Amino acid sequence: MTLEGPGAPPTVEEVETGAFLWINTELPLLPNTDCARALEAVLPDEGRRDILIRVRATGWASLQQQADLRQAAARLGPDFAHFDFDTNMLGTTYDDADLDDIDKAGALRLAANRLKEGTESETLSAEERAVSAGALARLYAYVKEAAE
Amino acid sequence: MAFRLIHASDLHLGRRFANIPQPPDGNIRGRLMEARHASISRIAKVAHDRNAKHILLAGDTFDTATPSDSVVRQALTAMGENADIHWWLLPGNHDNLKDAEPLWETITRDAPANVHALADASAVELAPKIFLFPCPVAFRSSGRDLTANLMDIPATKGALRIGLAHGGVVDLPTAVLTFRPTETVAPGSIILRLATGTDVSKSAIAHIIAAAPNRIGSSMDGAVSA
Repeated sequence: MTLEGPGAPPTVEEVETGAFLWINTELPLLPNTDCARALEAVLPDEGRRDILIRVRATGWASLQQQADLRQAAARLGPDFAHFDFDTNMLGTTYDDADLDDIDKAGALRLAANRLKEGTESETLSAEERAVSAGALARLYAYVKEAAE
Repeated sequence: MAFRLIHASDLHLGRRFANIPQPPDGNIRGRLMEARHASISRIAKVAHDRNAKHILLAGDTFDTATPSDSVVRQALTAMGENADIHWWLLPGNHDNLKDAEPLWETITRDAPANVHALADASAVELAPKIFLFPCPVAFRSSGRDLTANLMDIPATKGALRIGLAHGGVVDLPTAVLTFRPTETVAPGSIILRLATGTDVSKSAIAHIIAAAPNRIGSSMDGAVSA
């Protein structure tokens, strides 16, 4: 900062002296978004080793999209000095194709159906619905992993 | 005669970054800690390159009230390397006067001649007719505006007055009104409030960002920092 004298406006020059870049970014998702590509698009291309980043996913995504997203995050995260991936604000959409991915019928499908009902229930508390949603997402992820 | 100074803040030397996960074979915490220390020489270089003789650190130079001896002494030594450049260290909330009393005693006693603790609110004449009015943080969260008394200080005609405080300007319109350069109590004078966490203003009042983020999600997101 340069001060020319009493009453005169100061001249201010911003000078970067840091070594690390800290970023907080949002990743808005829609049910038809290609999640892996969307995640890559919000990440900086260069200097990742010196970047600490938090990506906050928002909007809605299906179980399949969320599985893709987690996979992409697990692949890209280690590039960074710190990578914090937050999906707490991301809602889940459920369609029958997702449940079919778990199983067409049988015990797993029954469990999946019950959990889906739990997520949509009007009598359960928001907390209980969230537990159902989390369990369903995990079940989906396990089945997908086992199939690969 | 232009007077040039460097304003920086929140170096948080000695911060451990325990909230940043580190793999067993990784070293991110060490790299971040080292970057904090290295900011001293980077700031000194900025001052040297621009021919500024004074560096004002507006609080939280140290991350805790009780930094280790090596963190303190290595910081003071680094600041002392260029004896022509004066460092002025203001207590912030992390290194406030009450909790960090031994720290400020150490700095006052052991620091190189060009490194100065602003441990009380006494005015300092940085250069002829250029006065610095420090607003040191006495307690971690006093809840009051430590700059409030600045306007009560009688003006010296033709003097340039610089208030140095730690923390965000929470009430910008009021601050702008209060620090208007035509302020009747200070004819011909200007008070600069150097604070962290607000936008740079090109108005007569300088609200300057000079903070280093410590966690993602702080108000300083996007700032390139140590």
